[in-house]
Amino acid sequence: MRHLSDEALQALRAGNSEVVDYFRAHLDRPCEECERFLGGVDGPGILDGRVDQALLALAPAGEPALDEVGFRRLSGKLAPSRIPRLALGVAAAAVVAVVAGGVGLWPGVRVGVDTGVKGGPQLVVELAAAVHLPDGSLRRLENRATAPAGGTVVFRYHATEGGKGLLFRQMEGRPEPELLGSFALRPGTHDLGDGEGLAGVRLDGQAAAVRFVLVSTPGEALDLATARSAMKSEAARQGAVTLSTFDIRIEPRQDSTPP
Amino acid sequence: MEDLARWVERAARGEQEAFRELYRVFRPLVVRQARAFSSLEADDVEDVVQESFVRAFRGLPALRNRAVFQSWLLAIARNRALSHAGQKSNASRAREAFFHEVDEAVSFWPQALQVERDVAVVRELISELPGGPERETVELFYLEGELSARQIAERQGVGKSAVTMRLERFRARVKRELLKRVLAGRQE
Repeated sequence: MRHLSDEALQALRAGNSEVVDYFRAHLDRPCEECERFLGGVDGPGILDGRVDQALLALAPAGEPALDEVGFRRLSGKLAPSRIPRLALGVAAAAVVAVVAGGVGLWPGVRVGVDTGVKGGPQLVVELAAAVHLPDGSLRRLENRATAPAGGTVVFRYHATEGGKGLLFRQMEGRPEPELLGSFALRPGTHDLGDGEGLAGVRLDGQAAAVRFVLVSTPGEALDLATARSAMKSEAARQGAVTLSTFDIRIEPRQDSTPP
Repeated sequence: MEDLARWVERAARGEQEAFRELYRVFRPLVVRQARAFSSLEADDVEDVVQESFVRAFRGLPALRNRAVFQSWLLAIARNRALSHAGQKSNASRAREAFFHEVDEAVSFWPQALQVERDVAVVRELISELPGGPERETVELFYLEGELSARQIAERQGVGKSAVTMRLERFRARVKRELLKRVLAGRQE
């Protein structure tokens, strides 16, 4: 008796009628060996997707709401302007070198650490930044320092415990801060990233100043509405929400061509 | 369905609004699919979701039969979930490479995937399961759709890997049944 194998699937794919006939009959009855094989193999084709589509269609499904934070993360990854990962890797290494390892030496800023819940876990997050310049160099940034348009800002953070952080950008002259991404925060000092690279943010020169705000809480419960409320008003902060800000003034690009 | 096909077409052209709509509609399914793997933490599940949609949206222009988008997305997502769960053996990776070409040649399979018929097949297979932990696990995860494999393990008081194994065993049975039907359809 023959059972499914790589060779058999290859023959099925090639349309070998003898093999197709045989397995059509053979698979008509449960076969542990063939099922074990199928369970450990991808495909053939998109059969796995068809199987999961049928299985996942069994449960009642409501109208799904958009996971806005997740979609923003996804959009960042799909955007063609995303900084090449190689460049980010270089930047990451350089940030490690440029930004002093001891928290006390950081130019990082922690603003408005929440004092809402007494006795609860108190997450403290400090941000440090460097700018990756168009000429390939990397420069450490002090809070409220000036950086040239076209540069890419990368962040490191120090957290006293694990948690979740939402990074926002508030451009001068814009009413609402823009969500840039959601990040799992780990205790200690780490690059701010999403597992695929640093969170690099390009300074596009459309504003004279930009404020980055990392809203964070212990655990994973932080949602977008809570984060936005926390930024609007200290009174609206719930639980152990922490805001860490970093301000940068953007120096217009020096253009040699006349206006 | 027709609307969905239009969204897929628009996403293939790189329209952000279409990405948003497809993400909204299909994210819950990808999350549920990943939650069948009990070794995945919440962060892992979110990574599976992100990676799956990135791959799907980037690869969409090359997908010749846009009607199979959902199956295709779920096939990608399963692959990512297996990778994160550390269940992809070297042999499996080799097969994956081998079948990459087949993934492109979607026309090998009947185009009308007939989800309703597939669902009926799955329901019949569930009804044939003898009463016991496997059936209870399958019903909790797939029919009720509220609990993750981890939560089911806690409820049943068993190791979390046992739940994933039960789900995978039943899933392989469904796959065998659908493959048989694909082969039968090919002869018609």
